[in-house]
Amino acid sequence: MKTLSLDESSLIEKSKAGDVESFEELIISHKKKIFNIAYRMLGNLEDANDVTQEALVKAYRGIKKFNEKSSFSTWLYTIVNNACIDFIRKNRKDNVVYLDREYETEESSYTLQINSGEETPEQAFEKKEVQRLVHKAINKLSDDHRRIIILKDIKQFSYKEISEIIDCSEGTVKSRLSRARKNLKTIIEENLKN
Amino acid sequence: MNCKDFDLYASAYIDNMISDEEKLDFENHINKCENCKVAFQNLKIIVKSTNNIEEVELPQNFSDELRQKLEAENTCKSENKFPNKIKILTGVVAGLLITVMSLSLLNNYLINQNMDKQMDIAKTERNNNIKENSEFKTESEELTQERKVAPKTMSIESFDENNEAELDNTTASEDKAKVQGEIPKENKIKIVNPVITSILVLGIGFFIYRFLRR
Repeated sequence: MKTLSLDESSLIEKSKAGDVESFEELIISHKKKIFNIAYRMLGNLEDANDVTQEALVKAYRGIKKFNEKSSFSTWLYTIVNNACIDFIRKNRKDNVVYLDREYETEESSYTLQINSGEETPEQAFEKKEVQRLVHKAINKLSDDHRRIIILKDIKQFSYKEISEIIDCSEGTVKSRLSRARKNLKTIIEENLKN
Repeated sequence: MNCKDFDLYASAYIDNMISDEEKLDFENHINKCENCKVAFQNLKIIVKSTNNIEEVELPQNFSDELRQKLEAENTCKSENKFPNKIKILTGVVAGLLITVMSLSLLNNYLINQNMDKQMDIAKTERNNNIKENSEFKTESEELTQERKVAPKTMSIESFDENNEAELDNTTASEDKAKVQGEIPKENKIKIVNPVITSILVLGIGFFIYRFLRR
């Protein structure tokens, strides 16, 4: 992950002093990514919205404790990751059947971003179908496996960054990712058979 | 490598997180093993599909909502600074009050104990005084009786002496009455004082607790 740029560190300093606008600028390139991580982790947009907002407020509150030797984005994603895990743990008590979360429909107020530049409607539909299948399969993974698939395969973080975000060794990331991909493959294959 | 190691090797191969030696090993294996080759092709497709999952857009009012929350956080912070000081101050005051109360409680107890001792001493001393006085009374009575017989000029003196003796007697009886009257009074103070103080301490503690909870 890139080291702190001059701009970033001055924005961090201003945020530490309580400047909301500086903080907003600081997170501008991250907030969509954060929202998407939360969305994939939680499986629905409403919870993703709540958790992202909560995580960002938490980050704003805790920015005074941020040690500038580490990367801001890793620090931020760690907060988001923990917020998602906390949310899942809290809500598991109420709703045990988390595996059956359905894909959000287009009827919701949120819309999927579709690059429809060169795609025919059929291709777009096919792509959506594949995405639907993958999304559904990801939701059936365990928390640990889902998290690692989201960070590596959806958000393309490096092994090193993931090890920092979820606080484990790179070796653990490597082996956990291989198991998670194997499980994901099995789930998709089973879904296709059905 | 063999088919058992396939998952770990395949996953790391896709991410290019594998040594050159392992890479060669893996490629050799999938060229020989048809099952692993198909499995690898499928895994690659799935990883690619996952990579291509499109991002969802942020909700429309996301930034406005966030700004409101962040600003609320700021006002909360500035509001909190003052109550925090007050909380610390009330905490200190409460601690001091409790210490003072418990000290006074202890003090009262010690004073009462001392007073008991002093009173015991005073009682015995006064009893002795009373005895002495009564002895003196009889002596003076005897004296007056003797003086009755004495010449008239002496009667004035004896009258004075008599008066003095009477006065002494009255003071002695007053002392006696005082001693008798004071004992229950002191006892009352001894019983009531710790009770009142402990009620006060509890009451103040309760109010501080309620204040802090608010």
